[in-house]
Amino acid sequence: MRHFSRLISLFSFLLFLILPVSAQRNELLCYPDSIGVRVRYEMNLETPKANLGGILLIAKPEDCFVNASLVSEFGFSIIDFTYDECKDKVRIVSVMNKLDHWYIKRILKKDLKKIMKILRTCGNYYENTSRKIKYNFKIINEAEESSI
Amino acid sequence: MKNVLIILIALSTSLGVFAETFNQEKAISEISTAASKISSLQCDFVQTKALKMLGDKMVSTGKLYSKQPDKIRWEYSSPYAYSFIMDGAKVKIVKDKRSNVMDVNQNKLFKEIARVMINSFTGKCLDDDKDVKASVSAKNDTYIITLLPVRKEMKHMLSKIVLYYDRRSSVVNRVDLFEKNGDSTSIVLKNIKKNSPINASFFKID
Repeated sequence: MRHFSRLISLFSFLLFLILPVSAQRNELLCYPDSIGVRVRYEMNLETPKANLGGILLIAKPEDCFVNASLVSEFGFSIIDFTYDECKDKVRIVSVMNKLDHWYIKRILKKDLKKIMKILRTCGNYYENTSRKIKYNFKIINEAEESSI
Repeated sequence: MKNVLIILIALSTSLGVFAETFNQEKAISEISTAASKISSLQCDFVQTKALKMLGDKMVSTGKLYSKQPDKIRWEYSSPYAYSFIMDGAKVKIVKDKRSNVMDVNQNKLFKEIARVMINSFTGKCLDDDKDVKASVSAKNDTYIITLLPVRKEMKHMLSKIVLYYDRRSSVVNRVDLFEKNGDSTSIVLKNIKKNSPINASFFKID
C-alpha cells in the first residue's frame, strides 16, 4: 500500500511538471503583445497566376510599433516593413526588386495594414477581392521547431 | 639611403601582390579542376538566415540533391516541409501535399537562384565570369571565394556571395549570401556525397 501511495505521489509530481509545458504549447501567441516578443507565421499567398509561400516574422521593439519581415522559403527577403499600431500605418522599409514599383507597394501597404489587424485578433485569412489575392497564415510553433 | 629604402619597400610590395595573384590563380585552377569532376552532389544542410531589421535568426534544415548541369532538389524538412525541384525545363514546388509546376522560363528568378546554387555548391561559378567576379583568399585548409554578382537580376538581389571551399575534401561546405537590405543567409553543408548515384525520380516532374 505504501508502495502504491509512493507511486501516486510520484505520478502527481510528474503531472505537475508536465502540465505547465502542455499549457504553454497550446497557448501560441498570434501577435506580439509586449516588447521583445516575436511571432512567426507560415504564409501562403495565392494570386490568379501563381502561389507563393514564405515565413512572416513579427517582432515588437517598442510600444505602438511592430517590425515585420517576409522571407521566401529559400531565405531571401521579400519585404521588410513596420506597422504603427497607434496611427494604423504601414511603412515599407525594403522590398525585393521585382515588387519595387509604386503601384505594387500601394497594394502591399493596404493589404499589410489589414493583415496586421487580422493577425492581432488571431485571424488567419485575408482576401483582397478586387485583386483576387488570398493570404493564409499558420503560426509556427517555435517550441516544436527548436526541439527538432 | 632613403632611395634604397623606398626601392626596397616598393619591391617587397610588388612581390607581395605578385605572390597573391599567383596564389589566387592557382586556387581558382584547383577549385575549377575539382568542380569539373563533380557530376552530382547530395548532402544535408543547415540554413541560418540573419534578419537585420528584426535582429533575429531563422534556422531551416533539409537535404540537397544536385545533378549537373541543371537538376536540383532542394528539400526543407524544418521548420516545415517544402521542396523545390528543377529538372532544367520545369520547376515543381511541393508544400503541404500540394504541388505547383511551372515552366522555368516563366519564372527567371527561380532559374537564376537554382543556377547560382548549383554552380556555387560545386564551385563551377568560378568558370563563368559573366555571372560573377571572383576573388580568392586562403585560411588554413579553406579557400574563401568572394563572388560579386555581375548580372543585373542577381545584382538586384545579392550584394555578395562567399563560398568556403575545403581543400581536403575538395568541396564547398558553406555558402554565405549577402542581400541588399543587410540580411544574410549562411548555408552549411554536411554529410556531403560527391558523384554518388541519385534516384532519377528525385528530379522527376510530372
